[in-house]
Amino acid sequence: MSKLKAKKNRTVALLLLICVFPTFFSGCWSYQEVDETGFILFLGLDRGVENKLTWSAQVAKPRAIVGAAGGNGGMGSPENDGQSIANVSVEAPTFTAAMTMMNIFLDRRLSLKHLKVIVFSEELAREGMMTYLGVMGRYPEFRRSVIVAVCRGITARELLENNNQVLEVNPAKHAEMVTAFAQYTGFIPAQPQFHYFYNDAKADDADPICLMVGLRRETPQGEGPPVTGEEWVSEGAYYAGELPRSGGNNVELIGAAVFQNDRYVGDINGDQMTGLMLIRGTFDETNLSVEDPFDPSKMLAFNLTAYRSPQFQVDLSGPVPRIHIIVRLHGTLLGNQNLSVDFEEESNRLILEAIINQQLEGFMADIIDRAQNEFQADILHLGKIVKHKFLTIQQWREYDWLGTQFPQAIITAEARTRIRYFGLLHETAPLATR
Amino acid sequence: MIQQGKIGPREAMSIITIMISVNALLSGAIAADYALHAGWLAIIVAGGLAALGTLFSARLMAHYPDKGLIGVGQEVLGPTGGFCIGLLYFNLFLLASALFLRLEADRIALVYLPDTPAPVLALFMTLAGLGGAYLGLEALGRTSLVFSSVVIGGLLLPLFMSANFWNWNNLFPLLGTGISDIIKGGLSLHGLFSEIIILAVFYSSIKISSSPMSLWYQPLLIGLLVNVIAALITLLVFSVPAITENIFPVVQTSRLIYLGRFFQRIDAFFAFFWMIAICLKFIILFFTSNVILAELLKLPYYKPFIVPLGIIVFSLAFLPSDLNQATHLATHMAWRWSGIIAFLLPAVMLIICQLKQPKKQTKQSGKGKGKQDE
Repeated sequence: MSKLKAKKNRTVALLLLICVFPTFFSGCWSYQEVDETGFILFLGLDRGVENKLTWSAQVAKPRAIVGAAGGNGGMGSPENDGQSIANVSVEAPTFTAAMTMMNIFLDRRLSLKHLKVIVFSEELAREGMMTYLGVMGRYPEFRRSVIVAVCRGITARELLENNNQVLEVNPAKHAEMVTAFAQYTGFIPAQPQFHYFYNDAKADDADPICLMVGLRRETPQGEGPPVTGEEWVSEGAYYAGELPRSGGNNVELIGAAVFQNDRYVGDINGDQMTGLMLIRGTFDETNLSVEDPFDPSKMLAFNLTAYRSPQFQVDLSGPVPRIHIIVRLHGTLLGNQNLSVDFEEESNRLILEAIINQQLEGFMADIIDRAQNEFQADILHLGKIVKHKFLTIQQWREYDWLGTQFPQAIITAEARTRIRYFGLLHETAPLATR
Repeated sequence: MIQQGKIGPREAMSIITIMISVNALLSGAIAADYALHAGWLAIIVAGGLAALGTLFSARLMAHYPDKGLIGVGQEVLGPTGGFCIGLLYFNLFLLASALFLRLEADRIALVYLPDTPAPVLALFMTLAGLGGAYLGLEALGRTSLVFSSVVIGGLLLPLFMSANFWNWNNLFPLLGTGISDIIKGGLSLHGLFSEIIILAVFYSSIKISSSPMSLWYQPLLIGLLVNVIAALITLLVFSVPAITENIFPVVQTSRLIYLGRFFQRIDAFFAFFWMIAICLKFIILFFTSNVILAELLKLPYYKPFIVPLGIIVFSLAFLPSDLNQATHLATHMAWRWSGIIAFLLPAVMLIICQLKQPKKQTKQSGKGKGKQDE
C-alpha cells in the first residue's frame, strides 16, 4: 500500500516538475544581470530643441546606494563621484528611441523596471500627456504604479539635475517617501500614480490631476513680500517653487497639476489640494492653522483626520444638477497662542469647530469654483457619484456630464468637524497676573 | 476502450476547476468588451447558460455510465454519425490546445520573459504536454487535485491584495451597455465553461460517487465564481474604458500591489503559479485530444499519437499571425462557438437517446409479450 502511494506521489512530483521546467529553461534565455543593467529611477520629458523630445534620466548607481547605506557612502571614490545616481539626457524623436540612443553612450542596458517617477515639463503637459503616457501603457517594463508629475517653471531636465536628497541616500526610497506625505500633509495628491492618471484621463466621469513639483525659489528666505499686523499666510497657500524656506531638498512638492482629459490646464495650491482631497474622499490627515476667534492676532493649530467617507446628496430633478457634499472630520487641538481662553469648554469648542469648518469650506469652495469655472474639469470626481443615478452607459453619455452638466452644476460643500481631543491638557490655565 | 487508470470524482472536479479558472486571466477584459461595466453580469449569464448545457451532458452520460462521450456518440448516432461527432470533438480539443499554447506562450514571453522567443517557450510547453500526456489521466487527476486550491489562490489572492486600488464607483452604471448586451455577452462567453465537457470524455474513467450531479456542478460553480470575482475586481481597479484595452487584467492588477514599501512587486511570485496552471491546462487539453483520437479510431491505446499530435499542435499554434489575432480567435471565436459544440451536441444526443429508448423499451416489452404468449 505504501509502495503504491509512493509511486503515486512520484508521478505527481514528476508531472509538477514537467509543468515547471518550461519556465526555468526559457528563463535562462531572458536573464538580465543586475550589475549589467542601468535602472532608471527618475525620468524627465521636455519638448526637444534638436529633436522632438528631450529625454532625461536619473540612472541608479547601486554600489553607491549600498555603500552610502552601509556607512562609507562610497563618497569621493573615483567610481561614483559621491552620487547615488547619474544624470543623462538625450534629444530623441520618440520615447523608445531615446532609450536606444542612451545605450550609445552608456555602458549598461537601460531598464524601466524600477522607474519611480516620470516628470513632464509644463509645455509638454499642455500639449497632452497621453502622447507619451500611452507609450508607457504598452511598454511591458513600465508599471502603472509609477508616479506622474509636472514641473513648474523649469524644464524636467533642470529639475532632475537639481534633484538632491538631503536626508535619504536611496533615491527610490526618497521618491516613495516624499509622495507618501499626502497622507500626513494633505497638500499633494494621494493617488499620484500613472494608473489613476490613465484611468481618469480616459474616463467620461472624471478628469485627472498629478503631482506638481518645482525647484526652490531664487529669492532667499525672508526677502519675499512681508506680512503686516494680523496678516498671515496659510501653510498650504503656496505653489511648488514658492515656499519661503532654506535648506532641505531642492525640489518641492505641493499642490497639483490639473488636467482636462490629458491636457494640463492649471495648478492648485496646497490648501485647494486639501479641499479636493476632502471632496474626493482621499483625505487622511493634516495640520491646520486657523485664526483665533477670540483674538485675531493669535493663531490656533489643529490636527485633523478624516472620520468618515464624504456623503453626497445628488439631485438631478432640476434644470441643473445640484450636489451637496458633507465631509466629517475629527480634530485635535495641538497649539494655542492665546492662554486667556479655556478652549476645552463646550461653548468654546463649538466656536472652534465652526471656525475650522469655515476654513475647510473655504478650501472646498475655492477648488469647486476653480474646477467648474477656470479648469472646466471634473477633478472633484463628482461624475463618479452622479453616474450612480444612471442605469446604462447610453443614458450617462447622453447626459454629457463633463461637457454640459458639470460646469453648470450647483455644488456646495459642508464640513462637520468634531474636536475630540485637546492634546495632553484638559484645561487652559491663564498666566499669573502681576 | 482505452485502458487507463481510474480517477475519483475529486480529481475529475479538480481538473475542470483548473481548466475553467485559468480563463479568469483574460475573461474580465473580454467580458467588459461586451457589456462594459456589466461585464461581470455577462459572465454570470454565461455561467447560467453553461449550467443549463451541462444538465444535458449530465443526463446523457447518466444513461451510459461505462462509456465516454465518443463511445456514447457512436452508440446514439451510429458508427458514421458517431465518427463525425468524435471528429468534431477531436478538432475542438486539438485546435483549443494549439490556440492556448500560442496565446499563453506569447503572453508569458511578452510580460515576464521578453527576451525569450515565444516559439522557444511554446516548444518547452509542448514538451511538457508530451510528458504529461504520457503519464496519463491518473497523474493529471492527482496533480490537479494537489494544485487546484493553489491555482485558485494564486489567481484570487493577488486580486484581493490590490484592495487599496479598488474604486466601487467603477461598477456604475450598473447595467453597462444594457440588458440586451449583457445577454449577448453571456451568449458569446458561454464557451468560457465549455471545458466541462472533458468530464464527459473521461466519464467511464471516473469513479462516480453517489451524487453524480455535484461532479458536474461543483467545478462549474467554482470556476464561475473565480471568473466573476476576477472580472469584478479588475473592473474595480481599471475603470471603463481602461479595462477594455487591457489584455492582461489580472497580471496588471497584480503588478499594482503596493502594501507598504516592503510589500510590493510581488506579482513575480504569483506568476510562478499562473505558469504552472497554464501548463497544466495545456497538458489536459492536449491529452484529451489524444484520447479522443484513440477512441475515435477504436484503439485501446493513445500513446503512439502523442508525438505526432504534439508536432501538429506546435505547428498549428503558429498559424495566427500575432498575439492580437490569437487573442481574438480564443476569445471571440473559441469562447463563442466552442460552447455550442460542448453543450448543444450533447443536448441533441440526449434527445435522440430519449427518442430511441422508448422504441427499445417497446421492442423489449413486445418481445417479452411474445414469449409470454408462446
